[in-house]
Amino acid sequence: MSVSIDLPRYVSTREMADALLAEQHVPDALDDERVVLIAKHLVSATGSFIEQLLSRLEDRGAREVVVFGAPAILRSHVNLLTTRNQWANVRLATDADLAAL
Amino acid sequence: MVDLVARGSLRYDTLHSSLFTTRDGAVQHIDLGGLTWIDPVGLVAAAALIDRCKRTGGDIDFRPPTDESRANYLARMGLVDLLEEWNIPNRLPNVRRHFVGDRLLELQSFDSVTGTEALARHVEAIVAPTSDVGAAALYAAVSEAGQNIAEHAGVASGFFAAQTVGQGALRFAVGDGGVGFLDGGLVGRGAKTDEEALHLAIGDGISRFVSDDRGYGLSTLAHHLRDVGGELTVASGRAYRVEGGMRRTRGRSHIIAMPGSVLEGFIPPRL
Repeated sequence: MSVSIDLPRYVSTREMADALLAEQHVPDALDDERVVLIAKHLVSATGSFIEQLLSRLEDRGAREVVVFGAPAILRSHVNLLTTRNQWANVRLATDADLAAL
Repeated sequence: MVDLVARGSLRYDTLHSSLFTTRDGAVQHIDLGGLTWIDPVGLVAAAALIDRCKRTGGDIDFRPPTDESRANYLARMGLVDLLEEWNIPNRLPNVRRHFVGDRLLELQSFDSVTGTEALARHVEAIVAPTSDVGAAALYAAVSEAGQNIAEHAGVASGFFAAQTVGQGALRFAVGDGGVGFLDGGLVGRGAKTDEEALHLAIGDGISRFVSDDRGYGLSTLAHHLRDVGGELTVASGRAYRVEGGMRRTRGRSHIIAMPGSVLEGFIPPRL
């Protein structure tokens, strides 16, 4: 099982992250599920938005967060989070992930 | 209250040396008579200083550049609009304002996180036709900086300006006349000086908020600008700090404190 979240073109504030989870009816308890972040429409994102979104997903019990279609700015954010070991369970989609879609 | 007296260029590295203890307690002097060059960060800093003075009920004595081209530039960049909105006599010329695409993004004020987001989308749309990656970085930078002002600066409004430089590089600035980084909450996280406050603010994971998942905004922004070959400079109080580009990270400390904070981003050409 996995939960999908479509990111809009522009995301900036922490409040936007909370609103997005509500708009897309992401369950309050993710019960160790995988979350798929679809970023194919995304143009730009702030670090604050990404941090808030990932923090909320972690709080809700997501097992891992896999990012598909990330533009350069989101790849940069995710790579930084990985470098910092801030969220160990977030990663960019691999070829295997894409093949499994 | 401090005076701003420009003698030559007004950039992030000359900003502090252009500040002086005010000559007259009730009047702030913004003396750009000797100005020979001004970056967006100088423009934003001047606006933030004036905003702070007006909010506290002070009067402004504004002196325009004696150099005609500099005076025309300040008028073209929209400083004249803000000065007139504040009812400050300015003697800046009236200039025609042809749309020049992403070459000049005029000085603008914004007064909320929503306003910042709208501004970020606006400037992203202007820059996007010539640089996708640069435009995305600009959107993130303006949004992050605006959010930072709303959360930390203790004021309702901030200022933005940008200009293309050289072969398509972009220099932009965001600033405010608020409490600055040290008094914006970093004393509570162990900072004792403005230099330490900037180090904590741009370093990983420290902000006014205690939670582990907060406080990465400015450092993430610095990281992303580094990723695209740009750099981020932040000035507040007696210090400024540069992150990224070909330069080494460094801090500088000065005698006169700059009220509030300004941030300058540099995005290199051809992205």
